[in-house]
Amino acid sequence: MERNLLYVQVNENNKNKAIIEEIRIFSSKNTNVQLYIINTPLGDKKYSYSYQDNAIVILSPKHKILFLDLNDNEDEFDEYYSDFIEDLNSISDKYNYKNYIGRPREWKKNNTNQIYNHEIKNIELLLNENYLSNPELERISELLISLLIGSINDIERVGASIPETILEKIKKNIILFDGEQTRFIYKEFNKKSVAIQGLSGTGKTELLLHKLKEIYVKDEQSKIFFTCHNIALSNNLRDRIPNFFNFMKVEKQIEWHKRLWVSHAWGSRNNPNSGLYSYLCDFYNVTFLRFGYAVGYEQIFTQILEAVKSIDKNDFKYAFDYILIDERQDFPNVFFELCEKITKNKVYIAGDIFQDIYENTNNTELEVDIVLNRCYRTDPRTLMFAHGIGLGLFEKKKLNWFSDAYWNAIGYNIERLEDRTIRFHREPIRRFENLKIENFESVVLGSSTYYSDVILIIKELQKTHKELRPDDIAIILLEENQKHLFKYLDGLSYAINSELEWDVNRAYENKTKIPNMIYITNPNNVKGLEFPFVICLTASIKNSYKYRNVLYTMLTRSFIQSYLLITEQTDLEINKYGLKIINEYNYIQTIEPTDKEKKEIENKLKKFIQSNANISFEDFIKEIFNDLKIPINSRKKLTDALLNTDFDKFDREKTIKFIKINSEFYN
Amino acid sequence: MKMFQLDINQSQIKTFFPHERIKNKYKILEILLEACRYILYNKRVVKSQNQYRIILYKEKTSRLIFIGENKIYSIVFPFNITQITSEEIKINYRNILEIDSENITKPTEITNYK
Repeated sequence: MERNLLYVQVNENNKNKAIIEEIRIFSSKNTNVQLYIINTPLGDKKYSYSYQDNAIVILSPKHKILFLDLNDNEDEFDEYYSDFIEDLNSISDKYNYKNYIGRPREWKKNNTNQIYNHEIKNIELLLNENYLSNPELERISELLISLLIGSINDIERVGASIPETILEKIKKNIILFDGEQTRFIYKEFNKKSVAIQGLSGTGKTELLLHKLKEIYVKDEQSKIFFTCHNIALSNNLRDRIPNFFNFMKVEKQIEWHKRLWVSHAWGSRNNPNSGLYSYLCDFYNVTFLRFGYAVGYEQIFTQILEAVKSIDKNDFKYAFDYILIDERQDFPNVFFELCEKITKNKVYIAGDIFQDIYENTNNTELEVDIVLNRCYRTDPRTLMFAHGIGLGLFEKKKLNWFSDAYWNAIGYNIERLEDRTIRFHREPIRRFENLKIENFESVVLGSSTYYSDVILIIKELQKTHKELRPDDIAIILLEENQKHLFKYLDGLSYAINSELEWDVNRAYENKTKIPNMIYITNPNNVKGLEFPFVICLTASIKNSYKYRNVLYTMLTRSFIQSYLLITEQTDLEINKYGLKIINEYNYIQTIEPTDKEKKEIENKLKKFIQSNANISFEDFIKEIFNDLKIPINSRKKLTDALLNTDFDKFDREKTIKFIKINSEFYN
Repeated sequence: MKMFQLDINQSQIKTFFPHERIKNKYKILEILLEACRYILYNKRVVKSQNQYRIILYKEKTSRLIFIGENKIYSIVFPFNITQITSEEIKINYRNILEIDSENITKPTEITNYK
């Protein structure tokens, strides 16, 4: 808890020890106050002051920036203060904040405070005295903090004026790194590999980019490789880096393939720069292997590792100074071992946790240096409901259950009551703190999916949010591609066209996000996107793992409100009750399964995961047809019929049962 | 000779009268498929005063005519069109393949991907 809310970047010494300890105690008691303790600006390493060990600066949103003198030397402290303000002003100028927050003369007076040694009282009193009640000053203070901790916002988007409505507030929210995020970027870790892990939406990739900028600027001779498994992601990263560097005002040229490589992990034989493996083959003179039945990551990285190990110590050269890895879950352990071996300085690894609701929890995955468990994309209530309905927590039979450590890793605090009743709490997120959103529900359950219902919802949204734009809304159909669904989507699109006169972007056809159009799609084209409002449509809440996973993922795409419209209303009461508790009390309430039930859940999951592994649906079904000796001519019809059923595609038992019962009708 | 007529609503004008020149077959295919979709889901009008409209002439060979403010053009309509009820229309290709939403979406995905 404290790790998220408090960040201390000061070398402790006899002078500041007592006050830092006091702040730590204060922070552990006040779970809604974000605090950063620094003595130089974090974003740029070039700033240092002779008096910095004798003073600390306390940053906290909604408060003045407090400069505390710890040495009773007023003259030197005054100099330190003036120098600090001058440097802050130059950072503000560098990122174009000056036009928005004004000259230091004003914010120095209104937003900072010097506290001399003899004036220091207890920390709570100090913060209370320096509380900013004026929203304009509050905003300027947040912008100044963002500059000091290097969490630079796009000032043109954010602006200094006070946003009025909820939608505007969310769009113009000032992003400040929390304690854990700041720790990842600035803290020196004593080990070679530093791993971070978090839910999606916790900002991992963004943090890796900040880290990249940090090491690229700091160490001018360094060679850095940024890699991931996915080619599309690596292309996307390569495109993002120049923009990110420009935005962060990095004054150094990007020297592609000389100092910086951004590529996927494999690559091709003829181009050493096309991937990490192909580069290493070239560098250490190892034969390049192509992907094949017996050749995967395990084999190629073991091959390189063995080759590297066999090199004589005196001849060994490091391939890189730093390696950054995204999506760690895609790689085997040998890959990380290899990276450590061939990297001179540090390996930074970011990984996702809880990508699927049917994730098989592996406790070793939790042993990372930094866990980001605060999801900034989604309203905590939406996230709780999505977890609840996705994992079946409101129902008697749960789809999945985790260990306490894993629940903590995904951001829940556990409260156990009598009779195995259990409550999962999430901490509030700063992004949503000031919105006064308690008055409206973050998830709304609707009972029908007629065009008119969807249009009514949009009209209501238009009424409540005056500046609502079409691209603030996504409409997602949760079922897989079926004939009538395409018909429904087209009908809905034209209804929106004619009644609202809004354009519709059929994202299931063009796979892109287009400004000023309502995004309408099936579940396949939403990964990584977020919208203020999401309307999910479904025929019924099905029990299959895949469906629940889609439901969970889609509900969490919104950052203000998610609507879930369900045609079939049976068995919905328990979910409605679960949602009511979340809205009223901000926690998930459920019954913990007994050990026997937990075992059953585990076994069922194991079966599902095994049957799902590395086999296409065609192969899967062919095997069953062969076992049951189904004639070839009726196989296609049976397969078509199977695709229209509601159970999991790879559910072996049910598939066999279905085929046995129906085979005589499909001759 | 049969004739269908539909008004083009404001948001669809740029679909049928794109800003860029129609310079390849993909674009014509796109317009044809969008027109099919538009015919399937929008009401026909008997006599239109609208500046922007689509007219489908149904004869031995059918044609789609797009009428805009400053521009008129036409393309071949290679499908059969049948009126099921006063509201419902069906389009098919030689009674082999029904041109419905799914069969419009799939080729559109491909033309978008090119």
